[in-house]
Amino acid sequence: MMAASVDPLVVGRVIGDVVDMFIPSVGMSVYFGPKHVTNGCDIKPSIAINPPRVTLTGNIDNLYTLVMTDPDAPSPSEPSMRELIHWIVVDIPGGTNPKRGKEILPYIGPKPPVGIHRFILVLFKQKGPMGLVEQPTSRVSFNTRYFASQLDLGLPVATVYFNSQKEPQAKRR
Amino acid sequence: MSRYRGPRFKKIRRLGDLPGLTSKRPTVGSELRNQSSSSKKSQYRIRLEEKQKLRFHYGLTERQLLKYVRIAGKAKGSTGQVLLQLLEMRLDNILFRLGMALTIPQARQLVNHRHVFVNGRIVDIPSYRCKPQDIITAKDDQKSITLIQNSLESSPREELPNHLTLHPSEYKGLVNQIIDSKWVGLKINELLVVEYYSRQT
Repeated sequence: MMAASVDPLVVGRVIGDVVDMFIPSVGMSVYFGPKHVTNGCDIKPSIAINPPRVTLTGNIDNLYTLVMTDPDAPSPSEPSMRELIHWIVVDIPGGTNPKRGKEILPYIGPKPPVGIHRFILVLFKQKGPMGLVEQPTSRVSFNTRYFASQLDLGLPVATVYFNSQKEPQAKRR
Repeated sequence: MSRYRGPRFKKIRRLGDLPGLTSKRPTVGSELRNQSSSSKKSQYRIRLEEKQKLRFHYGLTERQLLKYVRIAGKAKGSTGQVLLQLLEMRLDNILFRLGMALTIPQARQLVNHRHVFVNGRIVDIPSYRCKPQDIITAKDDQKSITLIQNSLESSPREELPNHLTLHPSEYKGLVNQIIDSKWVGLKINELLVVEYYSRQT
């Protein structure tokens, strides 16, 4: 049953470009204001200025790491900055939300300059509490797989992605 | 709908090989002549040329292509991949890929002049979207059969894409499935086309 929910991630090339094939084992619901984020849905940059409301299922004794990343920066046809990291939160207790965790990298909203970008929220289960986690020196050229291997996080336990593109500006007369 | 009726070789000199538009190939000399003095292309020009390749290969108007991009944008999955699938499943393109016509404009005329049946019924709309299990046949009259026979005999024997099956003796083709992206008949970076249409203002 759980494997079926990975299918949109394969179609959207999230599995492959950002993470390896995994079996989801934790529920993660993401909302930008009233808008529920489902795989492949469109979110306007203007409603994603502030961090989303993320709710996890799972045991409160388990700790989780959440990363949000854009593999299509600066443009999907030439993603020379792949990946651009938007948000990192560690030590999130199960059944709660990222506000209860420790923010390593503050959230920045989507600002795609050209093309339709994928923004991917990946949740990892930690083996225990994180000690000192270094903040990435740069937001560009981040690698989710490498980050997970450095912190010994293993495969993701939940992933959701949305699309976003530049909004048209009001034409001045 | 109106379509491009102007010089074709001019287009392939500018944009490169477009098998759907013409079976001619740009020569080395013409490519050298056409290179502009500034070798650096702007980002806009790169995307525009990729979009024009798609448009002239499939013989679409700007409005038609924009509609396809919007449909692809609403579909699940990669917008670029869905766009190519939509274009590849057009009836005129299917006839061209089967070898029943040598170019897409020729396939378009075959359809328009009512030489083609889909599932036993005449379809005269070149943009008709074929579905898996559709059977495409020549109309059962001598003129239609001769036209398609000539094309089948003179079309280069290229490997048929795996989503199509051809029965040349019966002048019949079958659509097996939706096309897989690696069988698309045009070398193109579809992401550039989507970027061209994504709102850049």
